[in-house]
Amino acid sequence: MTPGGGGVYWGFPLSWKSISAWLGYYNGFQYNWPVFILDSFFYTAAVFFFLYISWLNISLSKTLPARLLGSNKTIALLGMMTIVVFTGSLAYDYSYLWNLWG
Amino acid sequence: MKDASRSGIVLAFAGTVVAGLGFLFLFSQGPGACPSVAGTGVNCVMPRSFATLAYYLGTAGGALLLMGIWQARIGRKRIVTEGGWLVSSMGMTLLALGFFGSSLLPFPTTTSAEIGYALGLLGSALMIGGMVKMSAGERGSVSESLAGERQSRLKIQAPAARVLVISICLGLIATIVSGWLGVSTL
Repeated sequence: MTPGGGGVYWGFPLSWKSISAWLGYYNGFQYNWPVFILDSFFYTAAVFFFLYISWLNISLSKTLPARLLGSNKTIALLGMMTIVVFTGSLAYDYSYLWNLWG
Repeated sequence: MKDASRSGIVLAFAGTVVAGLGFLFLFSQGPGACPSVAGTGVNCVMPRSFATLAYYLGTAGGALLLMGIWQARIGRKRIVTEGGWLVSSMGMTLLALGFFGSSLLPFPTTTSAEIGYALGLLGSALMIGGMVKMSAGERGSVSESLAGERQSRLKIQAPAARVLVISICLGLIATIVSGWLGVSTL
């Protein structure tokens, strides 16, 4: 509990989104995009390490994961998913805020 | 029994267990949150975290089940590439709808959570199924691609750029998903 004000912070390991309140009035969402990019680096590095090690182990045989990772369609699907999740998340924020004010 | 078939059956079993856990978790909530309106047809608001957890359990269960079936080589020769994109797109649409029902609604209800769970289960299975169709049929039917396995072994490499692009996409998605975890100091 923060006397007079406080907020809710989203994001892991660093918080890149927050909504703050002061004396019961919400000030809307604040996005910290540099921190968002830092968080992305963290996850990208983890996924890259995992995928690359996995790929080296499976690349000698034509297994399903190797074919999925090697397909351009996979990249297209992932790109679409990233856009959908990103815009969906923003849309949710606005609907949540609207609900909060409503 | 071959190792691949055995691991496929284990995967399918794990998927069934995960999906079953989600089902039990969801329906064990029952009218607990608002027993006074049980049986009246009034929808009871469910905690978002419960609905979301059930959705993810259903999604993981459906995906694991289908991957297990694929790996166990059940009906593999019947799979053709045609319609892979359509099946995958339908799966993604169902997944998005399920996510909306269980997580994005301002106030998820027991009904929306149940619908979200079912859509997550079905959507993930369809999405993986579509991807299996697409990958299996790059050169026609699965049996043809299996026959050409030996010839194409040397073609698959691990290009760092491709792994990096996939990692960036997944990293961005993980970052956005981590943005759904909130800490309150109010």
